Amino acid sequence: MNSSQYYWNNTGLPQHRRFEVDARIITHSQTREDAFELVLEAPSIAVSAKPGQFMEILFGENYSPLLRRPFSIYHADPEAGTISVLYRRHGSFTSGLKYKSPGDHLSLIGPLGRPFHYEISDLFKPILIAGGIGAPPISFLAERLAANYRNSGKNTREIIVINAARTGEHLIGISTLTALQVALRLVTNDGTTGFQGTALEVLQEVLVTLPESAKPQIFACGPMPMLRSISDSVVPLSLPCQLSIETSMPCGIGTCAGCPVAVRDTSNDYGFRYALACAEGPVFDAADLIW
Amino acid sequence: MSASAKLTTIKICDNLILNSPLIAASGALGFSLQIGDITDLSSLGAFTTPTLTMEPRAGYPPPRSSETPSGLLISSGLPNPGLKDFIKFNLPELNTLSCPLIVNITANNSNEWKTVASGLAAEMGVNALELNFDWEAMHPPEDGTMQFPTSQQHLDEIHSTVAAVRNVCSLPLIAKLPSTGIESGEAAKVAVEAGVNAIAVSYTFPGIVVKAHTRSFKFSNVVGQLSGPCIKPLALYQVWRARNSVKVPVIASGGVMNAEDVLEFLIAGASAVAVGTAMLIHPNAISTISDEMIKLLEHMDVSDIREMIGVTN
Repeated sequence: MNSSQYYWNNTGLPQHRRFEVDARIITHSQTREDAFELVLEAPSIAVSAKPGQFMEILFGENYSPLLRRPFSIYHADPEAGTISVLYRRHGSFTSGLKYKSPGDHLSLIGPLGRPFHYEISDLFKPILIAGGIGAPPISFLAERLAANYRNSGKNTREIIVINAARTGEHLIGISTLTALQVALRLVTNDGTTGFQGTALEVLQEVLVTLPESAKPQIFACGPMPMLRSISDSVVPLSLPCQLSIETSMPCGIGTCAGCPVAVRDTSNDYGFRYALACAEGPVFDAADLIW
Repeated sequence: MSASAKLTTIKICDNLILNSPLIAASGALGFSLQIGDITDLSSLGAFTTPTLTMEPRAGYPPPRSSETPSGLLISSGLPNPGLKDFIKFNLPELNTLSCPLIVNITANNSNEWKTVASGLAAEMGVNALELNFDWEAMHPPEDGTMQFPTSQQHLDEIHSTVAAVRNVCSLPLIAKLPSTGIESGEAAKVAVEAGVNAIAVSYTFPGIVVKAHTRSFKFSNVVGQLSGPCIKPLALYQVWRARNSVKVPVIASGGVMNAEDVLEFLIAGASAVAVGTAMLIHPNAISTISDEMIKLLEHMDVSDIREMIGVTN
């Protein structure tokens, strides 16, 4: 058996040009309680970045920390040549980022990974779900979908976005999502903001209200337990569902083999193989994942 | 003219001449040239593949990596496509490289070693074999139980393996020696005596990551392999030991991040230097380091870096 055929052959990998860029920080601002937006000048990345893709950011050249960290792309402005990430401070890397100011440079590699894929049609009914710090790529997807809807004269309120977090302070990206004029549903586990419950409960409620002809497509990013609960609920219904997985990625560029994700593979005796999250992901079809 | 063209070629043996002293270490660039969009492949002195085995290996389940100050631990189980698929899918692409291709291999027993070595020797475009003599690489743990040989067992296996591979293949052979368990100078002597053309040190170092809060080990196989700048002094020691034990060229690796590091390894006795972890951080590191070296050598008034190899004041 060849448990890693897809990866080793490279034929199925997303082929897009990546760039290593020494990017200047344009702005670095606090958006909410604990969230910060870092806007960077990186025209080559900004032009081609798609929702669901990420960048690897290097803190500095003094090996402390040594490795880059992956950050989902929150916003890309091809015309301004800028790209941004949204992060919360936890751990040494993101805590250290606070010392980076406009004018400083950060080394980036991007855009990386497989983006969300979608084809907009009359029956296409996108349901986007963000859990906690999983909001940035969902916000970027909502932004691109909303722009497409506006250009084609469709109502952006048809795009449903469920933004969930443990508590109100951890909900990020609300102002951006509100400005997009999508159908935004806020959920917190403790009820401090919006509906008290889980993203899954809201999703299930949304699904039953859809007309039978609608073809819902689910796009989610957030903590693994949330992604798993969504997957367990919608995969048996054969609903298309793409999940952006958060995992540690030492290199992010497909060489170190450090970010395996078990995916179904019927071409070998084991029924699965390890895909690399940085190359074949971070977006996977929920039906392919083995939890 | 590209910067790397200004660095001298390095002769390892009659059949293996490196385009430059800076080569891509095993695992630095994967099994394909997909990295070519962010790596200037023309700057490489040679390209070394990750470890290839006769049968494909899926690798260990996640998690496979952990960062430590100035270092990276990987417990991957050496995932690879296996000999057959490597020849079919990867080799044609790797054959488009303008630098020598070194295929790193390992095996569980003499027959497997011979099959892999002779299989690769029969193909066009494989310029040398790097024999991975790490014990865990050769003998992956079955049912989660790692084996630990005595030094003598390990040395004997290196000797018999080199002899067996030499018997079936005329390609230049590089012995990549394990970093622990056997004395590097002694192991280098054994490998050279059995017929290798060069010694490569150091391998990554075994290490473990403990999760105190859950009272558990992080990796499913317990042991990970440590690389990065934190191992540089250990690697310099091994290069120095090998240099003082054998006459064949020594290819160094272990935490090389910049031109200064490269010079340190040359002075300790290396003829060529492999860059690994740095390539995971800056995929174009070899090109950048080559440029830095040219400036540094000018500044130091050194016209031929070969005169620095193994020479201290």
